[in-house]
Formats: sequence, structure tokens, C-alpha cells
Amino acid sequence: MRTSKYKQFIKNKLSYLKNYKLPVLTAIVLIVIGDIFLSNIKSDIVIFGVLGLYLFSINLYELKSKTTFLICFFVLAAFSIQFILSSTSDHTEKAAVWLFLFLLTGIIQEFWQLKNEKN
Amino acid sequence: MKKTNILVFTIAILLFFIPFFWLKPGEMNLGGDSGRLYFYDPLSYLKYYTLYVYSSSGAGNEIFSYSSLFYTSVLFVFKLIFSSPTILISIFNGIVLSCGFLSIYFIVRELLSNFKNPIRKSIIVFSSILAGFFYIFSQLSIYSGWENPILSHNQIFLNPLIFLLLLRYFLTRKKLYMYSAVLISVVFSANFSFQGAPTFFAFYPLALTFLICYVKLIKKISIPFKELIFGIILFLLAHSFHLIPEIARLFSFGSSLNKVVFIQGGVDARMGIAYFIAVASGVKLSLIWLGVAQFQRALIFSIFIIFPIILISGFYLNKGKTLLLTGLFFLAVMFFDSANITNTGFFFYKQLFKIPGFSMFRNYHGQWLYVYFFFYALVFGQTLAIVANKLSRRLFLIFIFVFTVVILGFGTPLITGAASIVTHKENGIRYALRMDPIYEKVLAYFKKYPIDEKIITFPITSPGFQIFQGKDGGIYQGIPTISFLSGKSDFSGFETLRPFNEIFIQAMYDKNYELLKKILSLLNIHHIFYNSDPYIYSDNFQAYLYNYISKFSPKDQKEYGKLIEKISEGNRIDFGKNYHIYSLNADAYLPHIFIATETLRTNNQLSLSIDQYFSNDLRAIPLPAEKIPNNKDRVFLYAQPENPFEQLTSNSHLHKHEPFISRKLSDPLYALTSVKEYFELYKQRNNPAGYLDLSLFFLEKRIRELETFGDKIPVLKTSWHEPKLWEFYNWSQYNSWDAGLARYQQDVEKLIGWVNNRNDPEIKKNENKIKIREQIYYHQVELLRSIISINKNNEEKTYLYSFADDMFNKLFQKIQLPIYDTSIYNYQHQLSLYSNLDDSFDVLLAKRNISNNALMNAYIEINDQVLRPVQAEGSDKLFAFTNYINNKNKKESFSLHLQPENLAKDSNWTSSGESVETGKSTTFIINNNIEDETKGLMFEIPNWTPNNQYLISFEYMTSGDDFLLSFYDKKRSGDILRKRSYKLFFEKILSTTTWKTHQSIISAEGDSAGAFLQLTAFSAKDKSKLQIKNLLITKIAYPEIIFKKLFTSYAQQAIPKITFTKINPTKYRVNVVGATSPYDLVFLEAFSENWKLFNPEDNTKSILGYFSRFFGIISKKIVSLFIKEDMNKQIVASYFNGDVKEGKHTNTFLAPNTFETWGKEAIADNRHYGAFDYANLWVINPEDMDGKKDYTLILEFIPQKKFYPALFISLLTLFSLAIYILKTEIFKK
Repeated sequence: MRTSKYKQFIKNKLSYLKNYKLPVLTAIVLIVIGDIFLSNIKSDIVIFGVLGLYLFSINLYELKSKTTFLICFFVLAAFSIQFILSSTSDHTEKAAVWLFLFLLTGIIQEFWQLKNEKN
Repeated sequence: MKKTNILVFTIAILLFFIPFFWLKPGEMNLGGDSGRLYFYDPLSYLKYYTLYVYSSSGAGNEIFSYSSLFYTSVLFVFKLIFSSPTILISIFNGIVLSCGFLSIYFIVRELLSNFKNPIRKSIIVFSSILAGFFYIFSQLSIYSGWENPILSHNQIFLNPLIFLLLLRYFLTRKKLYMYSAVLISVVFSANFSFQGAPTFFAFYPLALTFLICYVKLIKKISIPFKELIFGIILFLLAHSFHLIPEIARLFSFGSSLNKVVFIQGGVDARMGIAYFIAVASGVKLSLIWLGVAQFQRALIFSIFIIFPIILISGFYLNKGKTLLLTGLFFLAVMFFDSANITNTGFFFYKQLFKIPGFSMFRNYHGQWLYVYFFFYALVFGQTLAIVANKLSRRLFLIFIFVFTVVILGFGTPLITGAASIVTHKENGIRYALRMDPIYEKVLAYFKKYPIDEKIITFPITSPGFQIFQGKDGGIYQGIPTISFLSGKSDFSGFETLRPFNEIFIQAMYDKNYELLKKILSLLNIHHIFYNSDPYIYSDNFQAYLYNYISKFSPKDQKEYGKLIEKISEGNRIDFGKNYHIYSLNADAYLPHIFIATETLRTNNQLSLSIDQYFSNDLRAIPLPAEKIPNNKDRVFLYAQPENPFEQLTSNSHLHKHEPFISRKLSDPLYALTSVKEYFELYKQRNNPAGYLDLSLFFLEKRIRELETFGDKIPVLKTSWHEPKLWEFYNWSQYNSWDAGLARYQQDVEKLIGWVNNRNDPEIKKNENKIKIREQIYYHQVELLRSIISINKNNEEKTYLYSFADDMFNKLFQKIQLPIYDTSIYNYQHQLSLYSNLDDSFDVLLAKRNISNNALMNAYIEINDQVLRPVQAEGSDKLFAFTNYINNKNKKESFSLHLQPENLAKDSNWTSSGESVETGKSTTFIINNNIEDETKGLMFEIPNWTPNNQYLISFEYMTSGDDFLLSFYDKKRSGDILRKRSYKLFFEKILSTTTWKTHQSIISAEGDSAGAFLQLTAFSAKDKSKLQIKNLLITKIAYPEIIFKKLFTSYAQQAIPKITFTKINPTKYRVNVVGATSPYDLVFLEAFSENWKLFNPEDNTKSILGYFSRFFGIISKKIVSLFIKEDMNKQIVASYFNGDVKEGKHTNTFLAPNTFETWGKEAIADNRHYGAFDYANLWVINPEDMDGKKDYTLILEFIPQKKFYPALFISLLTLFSLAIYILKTEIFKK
């Protein structure tokens, strides 16, 4: 009885979140950009936390791989700015890691999509 | 032919001819680790190096050179046709460029032709061409080792070519593609051998997986697994000639290859993790994304962002699987090439080093680089086509133009040859040369010289490289040409002189010509090749070639010439102005193989080999004492010193830590650093050395924190207690001087307690305490200086100074180190005796520089015996004690009581202060008005010698004033303007109101040229008098004590006469005449258990032996049909009045007698020992040869035997393959 209440609660919250696709995605992109430009912390918890959040968003909003590749453009822009401004600083390296992870996510996502399309 | 193909092949032809403009006629870019001498003289390289598993360079070592057999053979054929090595180099460089380009073009074209949304043909062609350009002219490619390419560099074209052939095979099922891949791989076997293992394992597993995925998942074609397995078997058979010997060595316990891959020779050494981490710290993922080299960090390279933009755009617009698959592999390789992708990724990479053999990727970035730009080119080609397909024709042309300009523009260094033929920007040195005809005469001289001897090349270099100038400038800097092209062994580097290398260079420094001659003799060196060209010894090369050696070797070529004249006694042949060959005195020459006149059993072969004390006979051979076959040998046992300061020999106790202080003490989270340090120390709990070192590091951190933030943190003048972790409301209490000092004191006390409570021997405990004490001395000076200069009011500063001073004094008291008695030094020794030695020993002490007075008062206590000096005995170099009677004890420890020599006996203090002798002590008056700016008093320590440990001891009284004792080490310097440099070893504050003893241990470094002590005032108090007495500075040099045992019954036995002939570097024939009793055969080549002595008339009684003999007989019969045995018995040299004769050596790789030892019994294998601490010796008994007096022995390096059947299998496979291809493909119609 109590479990179903929880499920219902989560469902309600998720359906509430579903209405905020753009703000959530913007928030994720901003966190990534903020991490690249502003943060001095090199932490896997942050990286995989944000990536996990994004994977969750893919599921929740049924995002296409194109969205992920689009985010790659934002990261690439940040990477380019950082490289021009500070060559191979820690911030540039962070951008390079984000680019790697988002491109990998996009490729796997598209494979998944193609497989589902076929089925 | 289609128009597009004409265009592509025209580009390929143009690319092929580009390298023909890199070198001037006659020029070669030789040198480096591989030397590339196969381009200059492929036949000699083949004859003296490639065909054998043994390199006689230096003292000799096992090598794996077979893999370059077919490549060198092809070069030899090309050399016959073109004769010019310049053309040869250009042809092979041209093949790399054009073949690399063509292969990538065809691969990308194939991948693009399969796209879901069809791409215009012109776009496919241009994208594929640009991908090809990108592959060979990308920054990663042009800086991937073109300047001194080793054989594995051929992977630039081999990787795509083999990939293309396999791709074509999978798609068309035509076996010709697979067979062609096998044939090509055989020619370039180096890429598929042990030496090419990293390149092979980086590319082929991934490439094959990609191909299988592509064919199966995208092209939907089934994989012909049976044919694939057949192809792999064919590949293995064709490569047997190098794989069989390599695999045999890999699984041969104790071989160098086996050790590298399997043996846990220290976890880090096997896994290469330390090296990997060091490399990883400099590798930047951002540069890898851009596709530029790791040193290209300038702003201009940001233009390469266009490549990631195209990549991402391509993926955005993509609709098929091919690009996704390529992208996945591209990212996988990017991960392997960068390693720096998240901490988790890095951790995972480190775990891979636990796989046996993965340590080959320790220099991972360079090894994965080629695979990376291969996949980068494939992804780039595809994404470019996808993006271009969306553009209008005009935009497409602009697009293509921009990328062509960027790729070819930045590829200019390779097109012009600037990247491949390097000319150093600063000093103008060109690493390409025309061979000097005069130097060629030197090579010809050594090639023709009939004696099987070794050569040493001067000036000697640190890395073992040889250097000489070409005809019109340009230099060769690489592996020794004499070894690789003349067939004579050459010692050209410091390391090659092992085990005598350190002794040799010290003897060069000391100008000890006799010792130098002795070492050359022991190493079978008969000639010196001296290149007197001042240019090759100039400053341009000092840093790389002579770095370490230059501290010992002569300062210029003039001095070098003098040194060589002294060693060689002037017998020389000149070749032009710069090249000279000196012959060493024939009487001092030891032939390559000889019979020992006597053997000396010892526990220290190295010392006895070069000691002149006991025997002047060159053929008296030191052997390990553990292996005493009878009780008649002369025995010389060297006592082993037990130095209580053994761990401090490299001044490790004076090491200065450099922690980085980033977090302020006022930081709210500072308290967490304390927790973090606690856990870091906890992780070191099972590593005492690491624990101590880390604790000292954290102590230094405490001091640095106070130094860095001292001005801003308050002085509370209250006691401090560390807040608990959960008392976060008290975390701010870390932010005070009182807290910093209290934490420092607590940590030191904790560390002293840790040392005291450990279950270590007293010596070890004291060593650790010395380390802690020295750090406290260092911290005391550092902190008090900092307090003097902080920005606080006088009251606070005085309080802090006094508080810190008290704290340090308390800590010094807590350490409780014993004072070493310096009146008579008690040298502890260990002596291993052997159970069958139960007689009396002469006990001798090497005099060296010990005074007669000290010697006469010395005595040795051993067991209950006291050994006193015996004046009448000994020699001018040795001092004798009364005999020692051994009572079958296996191990003894004893002590030598010897008055130490005081280097400060006639101390002469100089400079601004004043020293006055007052009775037993000396009073120093030091100006302390200007604090430590004063020069104070200095005392230069006389007779200071490098690599020695010293004890400095004195008693002092400062009447409460603070003085600074500093110790400086003078360094030798090759710099003309700055002849000496000084290194401050320590500074210590002396402050006491009563007499105290101070003792310091210090080691003179290898490049030390002197040392001095300095006394200066530290604080500006009124008094300025420092009293010192009993100043002693003495070398902690353990005198060499030798226990000698002579047998009255010893009688020299008649030794047989021998004639030896070198057949090839792995085989010698030894004819023995008159062997009536046991004798010792010595072979001056690096010791290896693989050197075996065979009796060609004694068959092995086993099934394996039977088969081996059978194949040997068959092989002999077949070879006899084509090759006649060389029966030349000419004698070219005779030594020791004809005791040893040398036959004319040949370099016979294959002859009927090659198989004469197959299935034959090795003799005296269990009596094969190391002689002179590096060479081989066999004790041969008459029964080994069935009591015969005259016979022939074959000395052979047995791994070479495996090469013959392995080569046969390879040739048979290749022959069958060629026949099959001719039959089925060429003549099928």
C-alpha cells in the first residue's frame, strides 16, 4: 500500500518534471559549461553525476541522439574558447573530457535508436 | 582507368617522389636507437647482426634481430640495383607516403560507398583524398618519429595497407588479398615481432574487431572463420623464423624476455606503472582532440578546431551505422591514447598493467598514436563527406579548399623534409651525413683485421652511442658502427663496460693508467679507436652524450689524447686528421678464449679481478667461492662491512621536501586536510620507508603553512588541543601560530614514538632517528628565519622565537641518538666462511691512505681471537695481521679497531671572523651584528673525495647564543666561466649554555670536488663567542680486509694447449691438445647459461637427441650439396708462448658443420661459472672427454640452433604460397 503511494508520488513528480524539458536540459548544459569555465574541482562525482542526470533525461524526455550531438556543439564551443584563451589549461582538459563523454553517449544513443527503429 | 583513379594515382606518384628531395645526393639520415645502418651497408648488417641471436657488441648479449631478415635482404637487393643508400632511403620513405595515402583513400571510399543516404561520387573521391592527406600530413603523423624512424615506423603505411587487404578479402572472399597481406607482413616482420609487439597489439586486435563488426553487422556478409583461421596459421608459419626463437625465449625461465613479461621483478618494474604515470602527467586530451602533437600548444594550432567541428557536424547529420561504428572505435583508441579521461578511466587504465605483458604500453601515448590517427582519418573522411553532401557545389569547393590548405599547409615540414631530416635550430647540427671515406677506411681496417678481439671507442659516451662527422658536416649519432658493420665487438658507452664501468671512469678521473689497462685486458680489448675531432666533444653534445661521463672524463680532446697515449704506450695508426687506432700492449692482452693458469676462489670477484695484490698473472681467474670443487684452490675472502649508516649513503637523510601549500589555515574546511593526511599515512602502514617519508613530508607542510600564512594568522599564547572531527564549531582553531607549532610538536613526537616502538634492529632505528633529527634541524632554521622576518610586533616575534626554540630543543632531547665514539673507530664486518675451509687464514688490510701509526695500533677482534699487526709481513700495499684460525664457523662477525684519520687535524678557518686556540678548545669570534649576512668563518676540508661518506663530530659551547653551521659541497663544472658551483647540504643552529656534542653524517656526491664548513652568527645577541673542541672530520671508509688462504700442497698443474677459431658470433671451435688433468677454459664474453660446450663425438642418449641428430644429418647432407665446408686452418696469432693459438675466423652462417652439435651432449654444464664477474669459465675434467688428451670442443650459443629449422619452415611456407599465387591467380587462364 505504502509502496504504491511512493510510486504514485514519484510518477507525479516525474510527470511534473516532464513539462520542464527545456529548463532541465538548459540546466544540464549550464552545469557543464559552468564546470568547464568556473570550477577548479576535478571530480568524477560531478562528471558522472551530471552524465547520469543527462541519461535520466534521455529516458524521461525520450531525447534523440541529435540532442546529444547538439550539446556536443556547446561543449565544443566552450572547448574552443578555453583553448584559445588558455591553451591546455585544466579547464580546456575538462572541456575535452566532456566532449568525449557526450560524443560517446550520442553514438551509443544512436545505435540504440537505430536498433529500436528496426524493431 | 577511371579519371578519378588517374587523379589518385598521380597524387600517390607525386607523394612517392617527395622524399627524393629531402636528402642531398649521397646523404643519409642515419643514427638513433636503430642506427638505420641497414640502409648504408645492408650486407654487413645482415652478416654481422640480423642473422644471429647474439650481438657481440660490448661484452655481448642476447638479441632478437631475426625479424629484420627479409627487410634487410630486400634492401640488399635494392642496394645492388641502385647502389646509393640515399636512393634506398628515399624509395622506402616514398613507399610509406604513397602507400599510406592510397590505402586510406581506398578504405574511406569503401566505407562511404555503403552509406544509407547516398553521397555524390565526387564528394566521396575528394573526401577520401583529403582523408588520405590528413593521415600522412596530420601533425600527429609528421611528428611521429620521422626524424630517426625505427623499423616499426613502417606501421604508418603497413597498418592501413594490411587493413585494406583484409577488408577487401572479407568483402570479395578473394584469397589473394589475404596471401598478399601475409607476404607483405613477412617483409616487414619487425612490426609483427617482439620488438614490434606494442604496435602490433595496439592496432591489429582493434582493426580486426572493427572489420568483423563492419562486415557482419553493416555489410551483412558472413565471416569465413575457417579461412580466417587458416590465414592466421599461414601467418604464423610464414613468421616462424622469428616467432619460434622469440616464443622459445619467452617461455624459457630466466631469459630476459621471460623476465620482462612474467617475472615479478618488483611490481612497478614489471607493470611499468611508474613510467606510465610519469608519461600520463604530460599528455593532454585537448591536443589529441585537435589532432596536433603534444608540444604544439601555441595559439595558431587552435585552427585545428575545424576538425572536431567537422566530426561533431558529421555525427549530427549522420543517418547510418558505418560512421557510428568507426566513431566508437575512434573514441576507444582516443581513450587508450590519452588515458586522462576522468579519474575512474585513469584508474581502470592502471589496472590493465596487471595483465602480463601490458607494460609494453608504458609509453602508451607514442604507441597508440598511430592507431589513433588511423581511426581519426577514417572518421574525418566520412564526416567530411556527410557535411559536404549538404553543401552547394560552390560551398563544397570552398570547403575542400580550406581543408586542403590547412592540411597541406601545416604538413609543409614533412613535404620539405624539415620534419624528417632534422637540422637543430640553435646549433645548426644536421642529423644527416655523407659518409666520410676516411672513416670508411677505419671500418674496412677492422673488418679485415684477422684477430677475434674487442675494441673500445673514445670519447666514451653515456648512452653507448657513437658520434662522428660526415664528409661535409652533418653527424652520425647512434649505435656503434664498428660493432654492426665490421663484425668486431665495440665498447662505446659507459653501460657497456659493466661490471667495471664505475671503476673505469673513476680510474679515468684518477689517471690510474695501470687499472685502465687491466680492465681493458679483462674485457678482451686489444684496440682503441679514438676520434680526436674536437667538434664531437664540444658543448653541443655534452648534455646528451657525455652528461654523466663528463664529470670523470678528460675535459677536452687534447687531454683525451694524452690519456689514450698513456694507456696504449703510443702504438697507433692514423686515418686522416681525426681517426686513430691504437694497439694495446700485446703482453697485457687476454685472448677471447684461453685456459686459466690458476683459479682464485673469492667472494668478491670484481675486487679480486682488478686488485694487483695477489697475482700478476693475467690468466689467474677469480671464481665464486661458494663453488669450491676441491680444497686446493687459493682462497681470498673479502670481509663485508656492516655500516650503521648504510641507508644514508646518498644523503637521503638530508632530502628536502617541497609540499605545495594551497589551503589557508583559516579555510573552514582546513580541518579535513588533517583527516586526509591521517588516511594517507594509514595507507602507508605496511610500508615503513613510505610512512617515514610521508610523515616527514607532512612535518615540512606544517612549517611551510606557518611560513606562508605567518603574517596573517594570530598568536594566541595559549595551549592548543586538536578539535575532534565532529566539533566543526571549533575547526577555526587551526588558524593560529600556537596551533601550527603544537601540531608540529605532536607529529614529531608521534613519529619518534613510532620509530621507538617498531620491532627494528637498533641500527635501523638509529638511521630513522638521524633522518628525523636532520629534518628538525632543517625546520628549525627555516622556521626561526621565518619568525625573524614576519610582520608582527616585537613582543609577538620574541615570544614565537623563544617558544619555537624551546620546542626544537625539547624535540632534539627526545630523539636520543647515541654519540659515536670517535677516539678509535670500531668497524664492524661480516665474513662468510665456507664449511670446507677449516684452516688458518692470513689476514691482510689494504693500506691505501691509512697512516703507519694508525695501522700499528690497529687490531681485529674475531671470536675470542685478537689479531695484532705483524710488521714484517705484507707488502707495500697490504698490511698483515696475525693469522686467524677458523673453527668451521660458517659466518663470522668481527671488528677492526682503527684510529680514524682526522681531516680537520690542521684546521685552518678563514674569512671575516677570528679563531683563537685556547687550551684544548678553539674559540671563534664571529661578527653577529649583521645577522646571517656575514660570511663568518670557513674551513675547507682537505682530501675530500667523491662517493665517500664522512662523519663530522665536535663538541661546542655557545654561551646561549645562536650560530649557524653550514655545509657546502663544491661541484665539478665544465663551465669555463663558472668553474665551481656550490650545493648547500645543510644548515644547523648551534645553541647551548653547556658543552654538547654535535655529529653529522654526510656523503660526498659523485661530482664533488671539495667541501667546506661555514660558521655564521644566526641571531643578533650580545655574545658572539662559539667554542669548539675535538673537531673530527673522518671518512667512514671501511678498510678492505682480506682473508687469504694458501695451501702448501698447491702445485701448478700442466695446462693443455688450445687453438680456437671463431665460426660466427654464436659458435667457436676449440682444439685442445695435451689435456691430462682438469683445467679451466675461459671465454671472455658476457656470462650466459646458453653458452654450452659440446663434444661433437658424444651423442645425447634421449629420443629428442636421436631426432635432433637425425635432422642434423639430413640437413648436413642437403647443405653439402650447395656449400663446401671451409677447411682453412691458418693460424693468425699465438699467445703465451704458444699455449693459446688463434685460427683465422670466418663468419659462416650456414655450412655442413652447422649441424654438428645437433643431438650431441653438452659437457661440464654443471661446472660453468662466471669468471671476472662477467665472463664464462668451464672446469673440464678428463672424464668429460672419456680420458682423451687431444680433442675438439664446440662452444655454441644454443638459442641460435632454433633459428635454422624455424627459417626452413618460413621459407617452405613462403615458397608454397608463391607457387599457389602463381598457379591460381597469375596463370589461372
